[in-house]
Amino acid sequence: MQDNIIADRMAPYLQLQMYAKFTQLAVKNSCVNMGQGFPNFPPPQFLRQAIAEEALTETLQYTITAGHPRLLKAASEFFDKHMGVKVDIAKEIVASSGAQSVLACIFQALLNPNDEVICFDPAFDFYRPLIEFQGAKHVGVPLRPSQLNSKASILNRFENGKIKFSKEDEWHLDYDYLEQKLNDKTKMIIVNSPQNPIGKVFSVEELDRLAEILEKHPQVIVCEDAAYHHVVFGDYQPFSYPRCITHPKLKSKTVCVTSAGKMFSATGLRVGFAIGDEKYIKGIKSAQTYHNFCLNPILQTATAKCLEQTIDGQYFTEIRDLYEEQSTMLLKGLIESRLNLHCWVPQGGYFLVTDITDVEIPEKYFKDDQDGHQLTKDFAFAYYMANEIGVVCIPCSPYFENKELGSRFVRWAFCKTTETIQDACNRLK
Amino acid sequence: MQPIANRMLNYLQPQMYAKFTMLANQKGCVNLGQGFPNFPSPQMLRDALSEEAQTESLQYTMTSGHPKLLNSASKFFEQQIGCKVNVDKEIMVSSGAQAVLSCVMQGVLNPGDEVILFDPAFDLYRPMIEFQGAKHIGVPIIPKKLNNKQEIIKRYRNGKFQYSQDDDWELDFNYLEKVINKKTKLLLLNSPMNPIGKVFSTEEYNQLADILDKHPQVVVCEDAAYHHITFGKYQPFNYPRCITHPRLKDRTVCVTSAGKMYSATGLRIGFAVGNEEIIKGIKAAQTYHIFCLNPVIQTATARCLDQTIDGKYFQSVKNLYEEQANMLLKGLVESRLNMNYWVPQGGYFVVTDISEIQIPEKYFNDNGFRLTRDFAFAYYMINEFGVVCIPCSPYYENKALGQNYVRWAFCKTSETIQEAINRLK
Repeated sequence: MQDNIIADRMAPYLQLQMYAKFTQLAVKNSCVNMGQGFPNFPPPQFLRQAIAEEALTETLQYTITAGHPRLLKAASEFFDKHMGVKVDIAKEIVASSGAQSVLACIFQALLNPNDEVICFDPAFDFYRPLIEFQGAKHVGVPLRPSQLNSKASILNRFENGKIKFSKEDEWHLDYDYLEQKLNDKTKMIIVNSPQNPIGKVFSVEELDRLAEILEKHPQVIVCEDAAYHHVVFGDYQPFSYPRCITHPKLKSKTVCVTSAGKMFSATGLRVGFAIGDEKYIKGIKSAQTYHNFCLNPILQTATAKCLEQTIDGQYFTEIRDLYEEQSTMLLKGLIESRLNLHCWVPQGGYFLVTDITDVEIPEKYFKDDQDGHQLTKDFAFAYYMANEIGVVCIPCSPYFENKELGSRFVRWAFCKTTETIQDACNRLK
Repeated sequence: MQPIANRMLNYLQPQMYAKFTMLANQKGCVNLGQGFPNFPSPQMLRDALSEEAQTESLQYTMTSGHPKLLNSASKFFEQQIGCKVNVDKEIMVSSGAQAVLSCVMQGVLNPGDEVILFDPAFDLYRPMIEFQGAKHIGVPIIPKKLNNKQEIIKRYRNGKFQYSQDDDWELDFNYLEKVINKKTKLLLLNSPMNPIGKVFSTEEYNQLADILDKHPQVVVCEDAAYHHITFGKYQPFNYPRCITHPRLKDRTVCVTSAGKMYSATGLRIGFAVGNEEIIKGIKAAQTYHIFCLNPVIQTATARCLDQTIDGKYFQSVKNLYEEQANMLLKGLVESRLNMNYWVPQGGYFVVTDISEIQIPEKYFNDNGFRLTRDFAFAYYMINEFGVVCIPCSPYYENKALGQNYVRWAFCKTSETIQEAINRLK
């Protein structure tokens, strides 16, 4: 058998994917795993119950590519109630195998080779390969923190064990740079809000500004990744924050992606949704036909049951409160750690990001232990943490086109039990 | 302004099987179209799913598959297929054989690569090949002869049609040699073959191996979705395969479907087994498709594989399908339709030749668009007989050839098949 069996597009992606690699390292070195974004507390019993019951009664044969009718109905009703979006079940919604699969289908459906896609860096590191696989080009427009916060300044802001997001925590979009990068070839812009990894929630003003800019580029579609839409802190309520899919000037050009797995703290569920105008959803359904063909009906009706059961939103208020506590706990622990980190208060999501510019890292960690190649500071830091401190975090340079910028940051997950976070904080003291 | 990518433009209409199933429901037809069983899935699968739902992790698992499932599948394949699989390197699970194939295409095909298909080839292959910028080439498999009613009924003995050489569909190896070239990257074959039910012989694989020896860059993708349903002299799983052929195995990736194996097409669990390098590329593709599968579905499937590893379950399933195949074939032979027939060697389907059927002219017209004969026949069946079958021209590059065939599914209850037969009398 010849060499180069594998297609060229896959060549940069043959190594073990970053999250899996760091999870393996966490297990191997008995680290506290604050890396991969999965909750390590139990998923809700009502989800397990729903799957167990549906397994005994729901059909096990092919169902509709776009999604099981019961799931599409339950999801549409849920989104209507909590997002204020009315969805035509036959035309404006499709279910796929996790938000990941939804995104893969969106890119296949909408991107021609040489189309350009704008990502706001730090952008979830799965977007770029998906864009490349369609022969399209990704362009990173960086967000930057408005300032570096000293530990003292953050500590000062704590009141009764809580801390509120403020201007000092903002990460700003460079709109001039964005306008420079937009052109005739731009087909799509990805807006992830709450944003992985920095926890940014875009404001109405920011979306207004984006809308104005996009008016000059009417071919641009907005792909709104709302995987964390249920985890928003401070004054925002779950699901209730500024969105492209409800923004008067953006909604008709937006496809909004959500994740039932994330909503129900069950990242292995693999049920996600795309909603938006029929002209986009049509293409996404077709892409899905030739990916998965259809989803497992039991998982779908079980998810439908969960959406029906939680439509009053109470479950999500409790979950949000839990995540907000965990984020505060972790933030405090990082501030009190012996590492000279700079922090920001997140507005939502599962993660917070710290700047590591002022952390001293032993030289040996700058060399990859497999092949000796030079590592960026964020990777060096992550290996330093995994080997000497016993805590796993995720390096952020993969989220940036500009690796030098990205190498200043690492990501920590707070979707973990109090025990886990405490353990991490103890090791970091 | 039309936003959809060019690659999808030919594929925006409802997919054929879904379309015909919808029609079947709308018009109260007997649905012998889409290939799903309408008898219950085994209780062991439901029980396994229900139990695992209570205890198995619901968080991300490994991209290549849950370790339990990889282990169970490897053991099963070793026992039943005789194929030793390195669990870490030579197997991957995906969301049905469909998703496996999608990952194979993405993992292996560069733009400009060529893929050889044996027509009639499952109609979902071609779009997936196109989506990777590759080119598909159809090499037709042609029936040795047409068997009319009188000829085929002679082979009906003791409730079964005896397979004979008269049922062979033959591969044109000369044509294959002509179209295979430096750009050929993949050869995709399906055995037992959807829709004709052909099981390739050892001799055919030997000849194939001879040809491929001259083209070392060609990967063989063996679609074995129906590997548990083989009739006559073949036992479930036990028939000539590329993945076990001494000269083909090292270049082969073999695709199987747990959903089909357990008569639960909605399960969405399939496997790729084979060459480590190919599997590496497929795993990378899967990472960015679905990232990982649901763990509960996987461990439940693992349990079913463990429980059925002695193969007895599959003996009884194969016997059931063989009965249904014979029941349907007899009914088609005895129908008032003047078709030509072949006895299938496996799979879920029977194909008939419709070249001598008088089809009312109106069925050739779809909103001013002229339909091929097979589609006209399918609509004729729906509207005047109340039975759904699937037109075969989508399985062919050469539509003039393919339009003479339609496909009938026998993965149905006796009641369903009997009802269809009554409507066709």
